[in-house]
Amino acid sequence: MADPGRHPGMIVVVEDDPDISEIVSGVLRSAGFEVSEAADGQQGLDRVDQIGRPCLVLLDLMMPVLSGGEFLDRFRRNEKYAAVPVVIMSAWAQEAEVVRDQSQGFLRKPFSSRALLETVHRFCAAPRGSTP
Amino acid sequence: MSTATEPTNILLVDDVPANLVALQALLARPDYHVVLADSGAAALAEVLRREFAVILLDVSMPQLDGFQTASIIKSRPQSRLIPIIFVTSSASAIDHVYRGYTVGAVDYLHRPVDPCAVRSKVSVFVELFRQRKQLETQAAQLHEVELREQHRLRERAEHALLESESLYQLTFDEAPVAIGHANPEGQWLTVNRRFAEILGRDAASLYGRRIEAIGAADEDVAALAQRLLRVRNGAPVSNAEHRLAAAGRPPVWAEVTLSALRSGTGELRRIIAVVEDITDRKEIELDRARVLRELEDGIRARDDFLSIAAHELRTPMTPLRIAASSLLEELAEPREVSTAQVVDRVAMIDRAARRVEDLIDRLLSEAVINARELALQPEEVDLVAVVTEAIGRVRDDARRAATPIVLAAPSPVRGRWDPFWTRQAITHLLVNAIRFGAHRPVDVEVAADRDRARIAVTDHGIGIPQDAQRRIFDRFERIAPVRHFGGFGIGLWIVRRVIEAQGGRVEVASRAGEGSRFSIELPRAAREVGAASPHLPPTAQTRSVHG
Repeated sequence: MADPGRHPGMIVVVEDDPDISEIVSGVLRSAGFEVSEAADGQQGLDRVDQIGRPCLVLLDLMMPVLSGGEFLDRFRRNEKYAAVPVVIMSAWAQEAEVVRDQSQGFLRKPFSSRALLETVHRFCAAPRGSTP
Repeated sequence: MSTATEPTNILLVDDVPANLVALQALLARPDYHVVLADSGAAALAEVLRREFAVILLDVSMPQLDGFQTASIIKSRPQSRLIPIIFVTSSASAIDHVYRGYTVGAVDYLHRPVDPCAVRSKVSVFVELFRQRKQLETQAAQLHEVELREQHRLRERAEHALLESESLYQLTFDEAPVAIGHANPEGQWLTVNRRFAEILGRDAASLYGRRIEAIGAADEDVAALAQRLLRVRNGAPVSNAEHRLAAAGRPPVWAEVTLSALRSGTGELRRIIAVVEDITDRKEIELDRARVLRELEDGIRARDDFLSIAAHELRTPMTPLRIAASSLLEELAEPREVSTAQVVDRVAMIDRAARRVEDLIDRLLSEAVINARELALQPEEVDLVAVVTEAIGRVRDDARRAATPIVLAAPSPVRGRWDPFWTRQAITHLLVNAIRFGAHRPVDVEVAADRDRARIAVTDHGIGIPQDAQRRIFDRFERIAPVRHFGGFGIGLWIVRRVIEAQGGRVEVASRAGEGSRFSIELPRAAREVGAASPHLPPTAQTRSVHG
């Protein structure tokens, strides 16, 4: 890869609902991606710092400690992550609208596994094939 | 008439007594009063003394002769019109001499006099005199009648004026509407009884003060001054509602009408204020507005509720949808899918379905508690058992959030409470504690003394800002922004209703970043409240939803 800090198959899922986090990650792993889970915005920032640069962040908006909006504000302020795409996962289209300029996609809850994978494939190629 | 009874005066003038006597005899009639004069001078004296219908004047007399005497008589305005009959022996000469300066009625008798002619001539003049007198009397009488009538009319007008003034005064004083007059400068001159009554003060205490001084608050004073200005500047009338200061009472709501009284030339003479006490009406209006506002709030709250409910349902639908669709995709593909993976997916579907079910139950109970009076069914229960049940209901939530719940309840706490709603309330507190507890342990304590039971739910999470702590128990209140933490607001309002309906209270102590402690205090013998609520007879039906 031309960019040594970048992890082409790594996706960070920032979601406070454990069930949603679990199933989203499960589907992504089945599709061959590496996934790192975070339960709130602060954990999300910590994960990203540990990993380097993921190929995508899937971001819930309504979270305790640090909300999705606050996560985005800090994330975008860091030049290192300027090119990392973020896809919003939310039940509220209006709330996603507020952060549209800072994000690259929107998955409206509830969504299907197909919608999830299609969206992810726009930004990331699965490095280990499509089967675990 | 006086002229009919009083004899008419006739003056006879002759220097020869025999002539006088002869004429007197000829004119002897009861309605004649014959006065004799033996010279011109005596005649003039008589003329001055009384009024004569006619004068028989001898022409040839020594000193003042008949012509000279007649001239003097005719020269005086008061006697000018008395007819004179000259008595003479040579008529032609007389006629000639006298004609030059004669005025008024003049006639002649020739000696020796013809008795018929004397009587006839005299009677003609007497009759003329009498008619004139009668006319004069009538005129005088008429004049008197006129004067009397004028006097009577004037008296009547004055009386009417007095009466109308007193009527006006009475109307002003006793009118059920408050009226006040002010001078063009806007200072009170007089106010009626009702006016003073409304303001609860002595009328005289207003005199000289400015119109707007009756306003209750600064804004009323300003508004009244504004309207006074408008009327002074030419507006015929200005009408609005103001609060007026009433001595010893809360302000009075009044409709105040200011109008200008102007002279014919448009000059401002008076400002008239009519004040109507509309406090009662206003209170009804305000009450209505309040009810309307409450209804609108209720509708808005219901809209919020629907919107929140829709969102709350979308969240647990998400894992359900992803798990089901991914399972479908995986099974449709012509490759091996491990049984473990299928089990994982189906387990997720099952869990998500239970979450949806649970949420529907909760939303339904919230809808019920919002829409209707809370119907309590207290029974003898152990509060520790109720709390333990509530903890059981959130066990899944706690496990997923990796939040341990630690219960400290040294001994059973028995009392009379509604177990269903009490458990709901505690469940809400636990759900909140898990949600905002930042994965740190949630402590639950149950304790009691002789009269009261206490439950405390303490988390060590993000806490609640100071200014939000008072509001969080209100209906649909959330710490802003509204959509930030799903399900936060409705729950606490229900907690408050449930606890207060049982005579207890709920409080929160919290510091941002350190966590929150919700304390419930319940009397051990809860009031039997709302057991027969008219709005919610099928309590059992509500409960059957929850099993």
